[in-house]
Amino acid sequence: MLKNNLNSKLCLLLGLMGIVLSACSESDLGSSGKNERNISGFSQKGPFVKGSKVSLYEMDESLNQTGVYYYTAIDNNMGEYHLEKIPFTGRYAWMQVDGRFISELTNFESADRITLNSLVDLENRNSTNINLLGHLAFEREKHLVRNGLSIGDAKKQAESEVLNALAFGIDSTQFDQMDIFGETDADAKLLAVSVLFLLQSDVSGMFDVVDRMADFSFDIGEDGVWNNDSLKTYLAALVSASNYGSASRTFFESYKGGKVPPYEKYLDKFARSVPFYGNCSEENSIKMDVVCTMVDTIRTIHISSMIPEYEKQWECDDSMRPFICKDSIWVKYEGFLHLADASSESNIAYGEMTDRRDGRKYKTVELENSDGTKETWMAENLSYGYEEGEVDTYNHTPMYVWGEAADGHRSAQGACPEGWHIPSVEEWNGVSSDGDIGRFAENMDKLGRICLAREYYAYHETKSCFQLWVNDLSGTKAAMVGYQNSYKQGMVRYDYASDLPPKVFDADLTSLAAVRCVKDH
Amino acid sequence: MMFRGWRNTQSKSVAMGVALLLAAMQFSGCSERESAGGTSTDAGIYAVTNKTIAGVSQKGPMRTGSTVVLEETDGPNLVSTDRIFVGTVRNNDGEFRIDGVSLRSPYALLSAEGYYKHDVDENDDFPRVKLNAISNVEKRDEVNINILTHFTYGRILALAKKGLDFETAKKQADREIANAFGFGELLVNPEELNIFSGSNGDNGLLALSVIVDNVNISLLGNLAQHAWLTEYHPEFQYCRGGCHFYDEKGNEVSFDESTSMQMLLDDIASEFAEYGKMSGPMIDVLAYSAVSFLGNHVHVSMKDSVVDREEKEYEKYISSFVGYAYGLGDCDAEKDGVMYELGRASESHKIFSCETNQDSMDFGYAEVLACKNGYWMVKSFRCDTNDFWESDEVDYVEE
Repeated sequence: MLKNNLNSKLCLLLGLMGIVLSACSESDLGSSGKNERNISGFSQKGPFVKGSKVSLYEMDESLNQTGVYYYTAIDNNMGEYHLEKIPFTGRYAWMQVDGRFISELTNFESADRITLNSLVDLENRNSTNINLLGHLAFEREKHLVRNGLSIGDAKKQAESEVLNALAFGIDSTQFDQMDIFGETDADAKLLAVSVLFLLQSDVSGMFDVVDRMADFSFDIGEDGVWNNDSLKTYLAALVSASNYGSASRTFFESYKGGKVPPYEKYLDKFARSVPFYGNCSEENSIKMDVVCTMVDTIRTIHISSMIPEYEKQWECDDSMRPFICKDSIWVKYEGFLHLADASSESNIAYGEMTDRRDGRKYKTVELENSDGTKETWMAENLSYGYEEGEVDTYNHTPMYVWGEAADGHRSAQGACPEGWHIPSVEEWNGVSSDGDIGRFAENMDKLGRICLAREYYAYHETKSCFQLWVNDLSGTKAAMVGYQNSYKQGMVRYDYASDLPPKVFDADLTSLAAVRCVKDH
Repeated sequence: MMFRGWRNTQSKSVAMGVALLLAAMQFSGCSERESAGGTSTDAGIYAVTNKTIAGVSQKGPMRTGSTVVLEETDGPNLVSTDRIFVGTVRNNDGEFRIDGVSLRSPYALLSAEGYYKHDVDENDDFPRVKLNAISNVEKRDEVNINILTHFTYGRILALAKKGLDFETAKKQADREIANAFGFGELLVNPEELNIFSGSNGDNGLLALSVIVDNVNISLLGNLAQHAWLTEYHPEFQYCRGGCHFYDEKGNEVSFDESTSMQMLLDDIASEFAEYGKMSGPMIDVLAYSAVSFLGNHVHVSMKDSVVDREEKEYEKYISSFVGYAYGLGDCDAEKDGVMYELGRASESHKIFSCETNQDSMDFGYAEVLACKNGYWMVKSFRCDTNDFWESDEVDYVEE
C-alpha cells in the first residue's frame, strides 16, 4: 500500500526531480558508488514545503551523536526528500526536518517554521518518514535507551506508549512507515494525531502547535505516560467542537486526489478516553441527557476548574458537539431526528403515533402553552412522501415547499396524517410562549432539533437550524417560523445559545422547511 | 562624532561580507553532505568525551523546538571540522541540552536558531533569530548562547586568526565588549550570563537585550536608524513607516522584525569582530532605543510564568549605557541635578539652560537628559518653575 502510494507521487514529481538530480550530478561524479546509500521519504506534519531542510545526524547504538551528518532540501510540496548517494555507513540516525508545512486543516502554508525529530534504524530500510508520531516518541525513545534498553526495544515500547496515550490502540506499523497521505488504518492514526495537534490553533501561527508537541513529547519522555490532563481535556473538547477538524478530509481528498482513511474514529477514541466526559455508565446516561444542559455543563467545568487560560476561546454555541452516553458508550450528539437516535427519552415522556398512510412511526410530545393548556406535537420531522432514509441534502431531514406541506391551502391538515394538522401561527406562538424564555427552552428541548446541517464550514457556521412551516390561515400566503438569516433570505436557524425564540415571517412559497404536525383537538 | 572618521572607510565592506554570508546560507536543491571525511573512525585523542552540554539560548528566551548546533573545531585555529552535535530547546525558557558530545578540541562553536520571546513587549509575536557562541567546553557543562556571545564570537575568531591563543583572545574580546557598552569589567564570560538570573552581569545582559529589543527598523525608522542603514546597508532605501528592501537581483524582499533583529545583531558582531568596538552610528541606534526607557520602569517578561523581576537592577545598566554612549559617564552624586540637551549620542552635549535653549522649548517645557538619584533620565523641565514636570515622575509599569 505504501509503496503504491509512493510510486504515484513519484510519477507526479518526476519532471521536477529530474531537474534537481541533473543539477546535482556533477558533484556526485567524484564519489565512488561503494558504501553509498540513498535514503528518502516523506516529512510531514502536514507536508513540509519545498526548500525545507532535512538533516540526518548519525548516532551510535547508545544514541551518542558521531558528529557525522548529511542534509538536503525537500524537493516538492508533498514533503518528499531524497538524500542521494550519501556515504552513510552507520545504522542509527536522528532525522530532523525544519521548515514550513501545508496545514492539514486550512490548506495554507504555515507562517512559522517547525521542527520534527525522528529516531530511525536504517539497517533494513532506505525509506523513512519523518512525522508527528515519530516526533512524539523521540524523547521517550532517547530516555529508554539512556536507561539501558536497546534501540529496537526502546522504539517498540515508546511507540506503543504514544499510541496508548492517545487511546488509538496498538499498531504493528512502525511510525516511520506511516504516511498521512496513505490509506491504511495506521496512516489514519497518523493523520488523526496530526489533525488533533492542529485543532483550533492560530490559522497560520504554529506556536500553540509546537507547544503542544513539546508538552507531549517531554512529558511522555519521562515515564511513558502523558500526564497533562488539562491539555488532553482541551484537545478532547476541541475534537467535539470542531467536528473532527472535518475540513481536513475535504482538503486531503482534493490534495492527494484519493481516498482518505477514516481518521475521525481515532479522534473520537481519543476524545472519549479523556476523563472530561466522565465514565459512561447507567447513571450518567440519565444525568448527562439533555443536550443543552450538557453543553452548559461542559462549559462550566471547562472554565471553572480545568483550563482557565483557554476560557476566551470557548463559546457555548452550536458549533459545540457534545457527546451523549447511550448504551454505555459515548456517541456524538447531534439532536434526534429518528427514534433510534440518542435522545432525551429518559427524562421526557414521549408518546408515539403511526402514520397509517405509510406505516411510519413518530415520537410525539406534549408541549405546554403559555396559558397552561397542552398540545400534542410531533417530536420528529414528518417524512411522508420521502423514501425511507431520504433527506434534503442540506438540512439532512425531509423538507417541503409550501405547496407540498400545506397542500396548497386546501386544508389545515396539509401533508399531515389524518387527525393532525400543520401548526397555526397561534399554536406556534403558544408553545414558543410569547417571550417566556424558560418555557420556550423547555419546549424546544422536547421538540428536539428540527434540522441538521452537517457540513462544516470555516467558523460559526450553522450546525443546527430551525425552519418549520406554520399556517397563517390566510389561505393566500406562506408563513415560516425561524430566524431570518441575514446572509440568505429564508435560511433560518435555531441556536440553543440564543435568547430569542424564532419568529414567524412571511416566506417564499418555494422555500424549504420541515413539517411538525400538531394533533387535532 | 566619536568613531566617524575610521568608520566610513571600512563599514561597507563589513556589511557586504555579512550580506554574502547570509546569501551563502540559503539551501540549494541538492543533497549536500557534510562529514568528517572519514575521520569519524580515527582513534583521535578526545578532549571531551560523551559529555552533555546544557545551557540557555536567549535573545529573549528561545522557544521550544529551536535547534542548537555545536561544531567541533580543529583546535587553536578554531576552524570547524564539520563534525556537529545537535540539541533542541526543550521549553520556552530557552533551555537546551546536547547529549553525547565527543570532541577532539575543547573549543566548540555553537549556534542557536529559533523563535524568541520579546524581553519588553506586550506583543506576543515571536521573531526568529540565529545567535552564535564560542566556548571552551572542556571544563564547562553549561554554555549559554546570547547576544553577548554573539558579539564576541566573531571577535574571538578574528583574534585567533591573528595568532592569539583562544584563552587570550577570549579574555580580550570579553573585556572589549564590556567596554563597548560602558560596563567596565562587569561582563566576564558572556556564556555564563542568563537574563533570568540576577548577578550584575546578568542584569547587564538583560539591559542590553531590552535595548536591542526596542530597535525594529521594520516598523518605523528614526534618524539614528537611518544613519545606520545608509552607512551599513546602502542597498536599502531609507523609509519611515514602511521600507522597501531589495536583494542583489533587485527583487523586493520582505523586511520583518526577524530580519531587522538579525541584521542589527550581525552588524554589531561583524563590526566588533573587526575593530573590537562599536562605531558612532551603531551606538546612536542603541542609545536612541535606550533613552526611551529612561525614567520608566520597564516590564520585563521573564519566564513563562511571567515573574516580574522585583529589583529593577538592570535599569542601572540602561542608565550606564546611556551615560557612556553620550560621553557623560555614570550619573554619580557629583552630577546629580545636571541636565544636558537631548540629542544624538554621537553628538557633543551641552549643558542645558533655560536661557540658551529657549528656541527648542514648547510652552516653556524642554526635554532634557538629567542625572537624578543615580540614574540618567529623560525629563520634561519647566523653565517657569525651574523644576521637572512632576507628573513625569509616575512610574510607567506595564501590566
